[in-house]
Amino acid sequence: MKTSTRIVLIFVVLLAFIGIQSFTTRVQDEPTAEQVIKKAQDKMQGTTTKAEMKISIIRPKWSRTMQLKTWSKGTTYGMTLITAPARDKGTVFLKRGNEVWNWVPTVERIIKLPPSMMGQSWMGTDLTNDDLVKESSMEKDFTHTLNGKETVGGRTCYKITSIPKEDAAVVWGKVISWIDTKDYLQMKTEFYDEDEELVNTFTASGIKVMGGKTVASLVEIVPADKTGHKTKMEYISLTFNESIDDSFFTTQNMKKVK
Amino acid sequence: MSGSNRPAVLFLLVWLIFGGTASAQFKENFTYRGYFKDLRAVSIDANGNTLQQNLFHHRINFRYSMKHNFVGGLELRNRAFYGEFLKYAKGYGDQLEYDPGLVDLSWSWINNPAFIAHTAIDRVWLNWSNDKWDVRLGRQRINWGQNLVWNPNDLFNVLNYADFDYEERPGSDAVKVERYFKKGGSLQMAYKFTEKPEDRVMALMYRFNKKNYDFQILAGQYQQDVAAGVGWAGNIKGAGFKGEATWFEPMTDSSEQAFLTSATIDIVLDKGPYIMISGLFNTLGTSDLSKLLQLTPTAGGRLDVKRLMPNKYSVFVNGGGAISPLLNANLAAIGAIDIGGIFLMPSIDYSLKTNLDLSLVGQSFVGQADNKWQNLSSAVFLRIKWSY
Repeated sequence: MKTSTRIVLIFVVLLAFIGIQSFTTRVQDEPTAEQVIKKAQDKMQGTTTKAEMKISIIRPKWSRTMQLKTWSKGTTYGMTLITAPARDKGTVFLKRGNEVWNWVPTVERIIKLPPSMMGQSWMGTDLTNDDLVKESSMEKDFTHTLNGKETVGGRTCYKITSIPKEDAAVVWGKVISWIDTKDYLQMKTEFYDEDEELVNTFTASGIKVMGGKTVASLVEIVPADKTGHKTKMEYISLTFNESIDDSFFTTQNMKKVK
Repeated sequence: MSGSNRPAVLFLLVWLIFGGTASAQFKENFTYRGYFKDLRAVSIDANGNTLQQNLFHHRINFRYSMKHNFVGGLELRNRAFYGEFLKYAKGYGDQLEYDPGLVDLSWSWINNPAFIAHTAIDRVWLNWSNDKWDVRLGRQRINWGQNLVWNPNDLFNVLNYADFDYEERPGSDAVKVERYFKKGGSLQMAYKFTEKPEDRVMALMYRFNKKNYDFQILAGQYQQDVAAGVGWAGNIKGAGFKGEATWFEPMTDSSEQAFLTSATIDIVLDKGPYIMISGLFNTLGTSDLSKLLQLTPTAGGRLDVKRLMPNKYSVFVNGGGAISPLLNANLAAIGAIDIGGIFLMPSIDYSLKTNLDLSLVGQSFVGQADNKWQNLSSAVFLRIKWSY
């Protein structure tokens, strides 16, 4: 259970993260802030993604890296297989709607996990899984304003400030996003708390074509108040919209997935 | 089976599963993994006598994927025991040597009062599967549990929570056939071969998911009883809610009727610890406090699904979580309420490097005698594990 409490969060986080990647639609006319966000939301629905990635937690005195494969279909289905390190290899998580299961290879058993495990702090970062998942409700819960253009990572970006609506149950007081005008890549995002203090910064780099789309293959998350702390997420491979049958996302398949 | 036949049988099994080919394709389809563990323990008994025990442990798991959806598995457990514990635990080597399965795959190849070297094969199977079917023959782990800690539904492999160092748990010599259905759900049949026919286990289980709950219904023969049970796993808001119940009705005079049921709630508190609370009721429970020590990992005996605890009413409470990404702390406690016994197990796990883990585990059995709480048996374990 210990390993799972730490790891289970990853794959739901990834679902949200992959959603962020889906900004990469070319839009002819200059869109409004709402349109950019809406595009991302629409993109996320009904698509499938297959990815292999590497996640590293970096601290001043140590670092740990984990490698995994994920499959997702819309926001309903997700499967994650840990491929490294050796200690956790073969561990699988399956999400169907709001149910989550964990395959423990050593005892060859499927354990159903409580939904509250999703609210856990994620791999030592200040983010909880819920915070990241709520990112997908950016459209619904926030009002967005376009604040002109700025250059981030050598790319011209729209700067969008998002403020939560009054009744929205979100943890952030403000979110500022820099979205590339050419490929609609989310180059940088700053998350502020309710006192307008910066909490986390997401920075994208390593832009290349993967799965037929221009994407940022590397995302770094840096907490504002902790020097030398960083979380890195890097894509090794990425495929979009490849047909995955619903039957792939079953407890039966958890034992076989490779 | 006589001891002299064993190497031949082993060779045959390995040959059958791994086919003896060493082509490039073989390398691609062949995987292995495992770990090395060094475990140091100091125990103290009810009279205050301390004993030291050392265990060096190696495990290797092989898998070979073949044509036509066949997969073979072989898992070996090599252990070397030394330390003063062995001087007092006379016959421990012989106890390890005993393999309760149909085929004897357990060898104490060095067995003297100062040192025991022991090898056991606890998994060796051949699996075939497609979209609808999954068939496995050989020594395997058949897990029929939905609940955590106590599994009255688990007719094939019983788990002893206190035996934390045997993370894979023993296997059964069995055949298992599972049929999956289109709308989800499955029907499973398993037959456990045993040396004595009266020990055999065969049962059917139907599993399905309804209203976000996993359900299972099972029925069959468990040794000299007819057994029937149900199990579930679902959620109540943010908490997990799981449980199992099994009824055992004797077919012969030498067996006893039994009913066991257990239910569990587990939850992760807001950015806080993981909490689990479980209860077990067992009609066969006795009031003998000393039997609580059957749970000690070195007691060697396997638990019986009809006696998951030696007493009637038990509760399990667990709290733990990550203190940092490298450090986990946990405290588990079992209360044998009706006999006034408690089992405590605090543990700390620290990741020294990638794949190198350090664990410090305490175990204490305490009981009430003459209106006083006293130590029945306690131990501290220090373990270092390298996974590959």
